[in-house]
Amino acid sequence: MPEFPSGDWLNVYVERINSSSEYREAAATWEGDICYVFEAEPDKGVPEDLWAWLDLWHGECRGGKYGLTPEEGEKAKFIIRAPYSRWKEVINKELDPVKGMMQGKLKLKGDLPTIVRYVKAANELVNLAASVPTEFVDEKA
Amino acid sequence: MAVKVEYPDPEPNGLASMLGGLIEGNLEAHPNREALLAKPATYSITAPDVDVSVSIRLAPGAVTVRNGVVGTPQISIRTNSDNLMGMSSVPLKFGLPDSMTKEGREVNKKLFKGELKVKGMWTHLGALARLNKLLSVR
Repeated sequence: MPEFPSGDWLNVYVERINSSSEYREAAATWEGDICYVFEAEPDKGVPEDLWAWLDLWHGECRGGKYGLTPEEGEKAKFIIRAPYSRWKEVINKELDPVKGMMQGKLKLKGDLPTIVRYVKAANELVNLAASVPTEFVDEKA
Repeated sequence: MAVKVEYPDPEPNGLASMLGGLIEGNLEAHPNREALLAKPATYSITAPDVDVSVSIRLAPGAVTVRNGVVGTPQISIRTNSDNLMGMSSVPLKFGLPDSMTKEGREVNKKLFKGELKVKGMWTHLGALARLNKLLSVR
């Protein structure tokens, strides 16, 4: 079972995205890369901010990269950032990402009208993240 | 140059950032919408399910978004977060949900059921239409 956050987890996530017909349909016209920033929580096993990048294009994920530098990550069209434990809540479906953004628990950088137009695709990305069998770094035996 | 949304609070809440970002993005993509700012108007928007409120003030060439409900706005909108996000995608006719479309009828249904409350709607219909247009992503 891949550990979250890690490159292995991201690879499985990319596979899930590319095998989802729901995502393909909802994001058929989406153009733009996204960075997720898992912000440091040293007491939970995340000593520094970790950047994960997804190259999303017309309903597929053309590639993913884990462990980017902030300089590389900042170039992405959209950046969603939150502390590690918030991401854990999102993956466990305990926190709806749109509600989380309204509450300021997740922060989004990028063109808001585009995100709102593709809310269904964004929700599907969350559903797919939740579908990845995950071992959280702070729950490791 | 496109209008920049102002946030007087040192740390705008999530809803303020989202609605301000939506308005700013729309004004950048559709500069003709700046005409919607010609007449001053005040609004509050509350999403009780996430316990967040914002106030929006329109003035010629300026949009200000504050945390919480400030003063007595001309229009007060109260609905849950899902409805709020969905409203930006509803087709509009003269700035109001187009009842000829399924999405427009859904909004009207929510109004009748009280799931969407808009205080000041009938006395400030024009101001409501302008806000809808500013937030619309269609």
